[in-house]
Amino acid sequence: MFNVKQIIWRFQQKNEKAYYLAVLRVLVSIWFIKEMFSRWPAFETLYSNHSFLKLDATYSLQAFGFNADLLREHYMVLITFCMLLLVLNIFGIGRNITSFLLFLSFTVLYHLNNKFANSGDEMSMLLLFYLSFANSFSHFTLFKRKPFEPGKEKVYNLVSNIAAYSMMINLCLSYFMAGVFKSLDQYYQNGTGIYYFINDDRYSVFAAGSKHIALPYILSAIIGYGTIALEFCFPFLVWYNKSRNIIFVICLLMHLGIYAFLMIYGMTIIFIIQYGLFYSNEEVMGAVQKIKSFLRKLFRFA
Amino acid sequence: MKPGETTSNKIAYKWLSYCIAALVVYYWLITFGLVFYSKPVSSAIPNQTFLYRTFLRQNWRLFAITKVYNRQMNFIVRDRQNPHNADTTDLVQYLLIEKRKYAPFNNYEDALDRILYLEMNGVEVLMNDQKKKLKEKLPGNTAQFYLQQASMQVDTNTHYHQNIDNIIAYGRYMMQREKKDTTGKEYQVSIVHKYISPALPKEPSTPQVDEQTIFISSYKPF
Repeated sequence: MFNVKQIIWRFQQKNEKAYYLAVLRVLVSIWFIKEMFSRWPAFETLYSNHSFLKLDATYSLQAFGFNADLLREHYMVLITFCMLLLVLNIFGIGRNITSFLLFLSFTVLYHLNNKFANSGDEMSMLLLFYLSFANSFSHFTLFKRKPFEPGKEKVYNLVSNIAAYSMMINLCLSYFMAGVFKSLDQYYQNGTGIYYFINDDRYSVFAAGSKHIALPYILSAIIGYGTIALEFCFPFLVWYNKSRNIIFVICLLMHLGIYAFLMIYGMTIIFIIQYGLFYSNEEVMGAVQKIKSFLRKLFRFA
Repeated sequence: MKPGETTSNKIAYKWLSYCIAALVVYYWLITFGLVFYSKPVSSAIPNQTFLYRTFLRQNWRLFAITKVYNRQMNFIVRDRQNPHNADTTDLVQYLLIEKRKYAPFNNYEDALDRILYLEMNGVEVLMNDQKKKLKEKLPGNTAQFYLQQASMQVDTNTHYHQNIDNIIAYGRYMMQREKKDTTGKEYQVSIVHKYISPALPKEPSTPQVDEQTIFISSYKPF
C-alpha cells in the first residue's frame, strides 16, 4: 500500500538522482543558452518597443506589478541577466538561489511575449522550476558543496527527490495527455492524422511550397495509432526495468522523426534529456564509467 | 542522536517534511485537476489557477490538432496609377522558405511563423464571429456576400485591428527586406485556406473545395 511515512523516510536518506540532476542542470542551461543565441537576431522583433510587430505582454506581468513597457525598453538588460544566471547555473554558483532566480527571470521573459512559445518552451520552464528545488550540485560545480547538518540535509534530500520525481511524473503526464488529445481527434481516430501533418507545410520538411505528399494510408495509420499507444503506455511502462529501455528507444525514434521531418528542434531535445532521470544513480554512474573506459581505450594512443 | 541535532530541531524538521509532502500533494492535485478537468477546477479556484498558469503552464497537445489545410497569406501590391500592374507574395511561403533555409537554427523564423499563425487565427475568429452575426441579421445571402461584408467590418474595426496590423507590418517588412519600391503603390491582404487532398475517399468533414478565401482586405496606400 502507498505509505507516505515510508516514502518520506526513504526520500530523506539520500539524494537518489544526484548525478543525473547535475547532468540535467548543465544540459538544461546549455539548452537555454543555445536557444537564446539562435533567437538573438529576433530579440528586437520579439521583445522591443521598437519592433515592427505590436505584441502585448500577458496580463500576468501587469498583475505582478511589472511595467511591460519599461521591460520592453530595456529588454537587453533582462536577457543579459538571464544569460549571466545561466552561466552561473552551469557552474553551480549560487546553487538553488541562482536556479530559482533563473526560473523567475525566464518566467518574466516568457510573459513579455509568449506568442511564439511551444511545448518545448513550456517543458523547459517546468524543468527550471523543479530544478530550482533540487540538489543538483553534487557534481559539475566549481565549488564543492559542504553537507548541511543531518536534519537539514534530510529535508534537502526530501525536497530534491520530490523535485526529481515531479519531473518524471510531469514527463509521463505530458505524453499521456498528448495521447488523450490525439485519441479525441477525428483524423487520428480514422488513422489519417499523420498524413495531414506530413502535408502541413508549416512543419513538414517534405511539404515545401504546399507540395502534396501521398503518404500511404496504412503507413499513416500505423504511425498514428502507434504514437497514441506509445503515449498512453509511457506513464505505466517507464517505471519497470524490463520495459524502460524498449519504451525509451521507441520514444527516441518518435522524437527523431519529429526532429528530422517536422522541423521541431528545441522541444525534441528538452524531452529526451529527461529520460536519464528514470535510471538509478548507480545505473547512471555505471554507464558513465563504461563510457569513460571506452573513450580511454579509444584515445589510448594520445 | 547525531551531534548538532537537538530534539526540538528534530521535531521541527519532521513537521517540515510533512508540510512539504502536503504541499506537493496539493500541487499535484491542482495540476491533475487543471490538466484533466480544466474548466470546473479553474472556476472553483480562480486565484490559484491564475498563479499556476502564470508560473507553471501545462498544455500538452503535441501534434494533436490536425489541420486539413495549408494557409496562404497573400500580400498584393499594385500601382495606384496602373492597377493591372500587380505583384502578389504569399507571406506564409516567404516565411517558410526562410524557416527551411536556416533549419535547425531557425528560432527567429520559427518565432515569426508562430506569431503570424496566431495573428491569422485571430483574424479568422473575428471573421467567423462577424459572419455569424451577418447570417442572423441578413439570412439567405451568398457565401461571397458574407465574406465581403465581414471582411469590410473586420478591416475597419479599429478595436480589434492588431492582428491585421501585424500581418501588414510583416508585409511591409518583407517589402523592405526585398528592397521593393513602394512609392505610388497600394496593398491588399487576403487569407486563403488551401485544402490538402483527403487521405480517404470519403473523409467525413473535409470541405469539397480546393481552396477557400477566409479574409480579404480593401486596397490601402503604403
